[in-house]
Amino acid sequence: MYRFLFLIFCAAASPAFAQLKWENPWQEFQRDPEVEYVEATFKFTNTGATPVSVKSVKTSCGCTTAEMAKKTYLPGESGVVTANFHFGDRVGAQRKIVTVKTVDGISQDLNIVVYIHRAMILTPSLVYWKKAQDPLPQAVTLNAEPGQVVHVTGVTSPNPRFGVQLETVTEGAQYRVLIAPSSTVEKDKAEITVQTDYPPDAPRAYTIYARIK
Amino acid sequence: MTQSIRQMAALLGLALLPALISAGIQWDNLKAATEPGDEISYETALGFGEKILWIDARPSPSYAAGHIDGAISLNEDHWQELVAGFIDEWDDNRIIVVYCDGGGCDASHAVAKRLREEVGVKNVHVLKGGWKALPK
Repeated sequence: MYRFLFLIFCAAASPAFAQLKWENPWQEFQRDPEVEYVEATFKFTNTGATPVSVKSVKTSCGCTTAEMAKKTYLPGESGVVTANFHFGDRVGAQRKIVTVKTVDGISQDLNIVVYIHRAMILTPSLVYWKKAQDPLPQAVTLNAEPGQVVHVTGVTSPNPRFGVQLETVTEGAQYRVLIAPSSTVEKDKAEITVQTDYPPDAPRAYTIYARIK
Repeated sequence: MTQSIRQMAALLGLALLPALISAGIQWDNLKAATEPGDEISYETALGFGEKILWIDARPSPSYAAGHIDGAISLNEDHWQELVAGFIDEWDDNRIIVVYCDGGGCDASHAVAKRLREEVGVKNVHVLKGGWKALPK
């Protein structure tokens, strides 16, 4: 008797026997930031013998929306959850979760994993000096993402009290920008622009923040 | 009896095996997508006194509706627009504590990671429990 009940418990706990069977609850994408968003479609089927009603569809971030056409699915009926993840200014590896809960308490996480490419990575994006500190040059390294060819076409400082010098380490792959203030007697700041040639149709510029505090 | 227990354990293992394999494969992807920050309690943060620089990583409308006194808004939706405001407020004597809604929110960890790795500032912590854990 107990063995029978335990077998029933195991069968009920197994994902294969859950009423909504999801085709691909984990989806991965690679995107350039210029794309702005990714849409993921999560297909499911009611494989059970009774109708299933969805109680809620919630996302892990305000940057992600999710919707489905209706709430109740009959046995054998299929449906789709459509989710849109808007990148904003996010970069690198991102994971957003859409949680679908049914009226009978079963919950399923749907995962959108996106690698948002950055053509060029600045390390660091902030250089600073304390007041009266020696105004020695500080370096910012610019690395093109592996597989990308990105040329730096210019570096400009709108504040003449911060001098800039561009060095090419490897053409199209790595550069260095040296920044030095003429004096650190007073607080000052500049937002230095690094212009690139990528993407060709809308070449992107990056900002180095220079501060004397 | 012993044989029954062995059979039950074998069946349970078979039922769990696919789930465990799936979780193991996805763990690396999960770790790649998020990284734990240095979480501290609200009480610990208060101990930093005036050195503390609160960073609100929630969406801008949430910040506008209410935030910790003196907190700077810095979120990933509008990073490029907001990061200069953080840099203007920061100096290397400050201790940064980032918060978001709490619970399952990972925005504070994401912002903390970018502050450390991208901007290059030190002394960055994440508020355990986030906005919802604050005393009202």
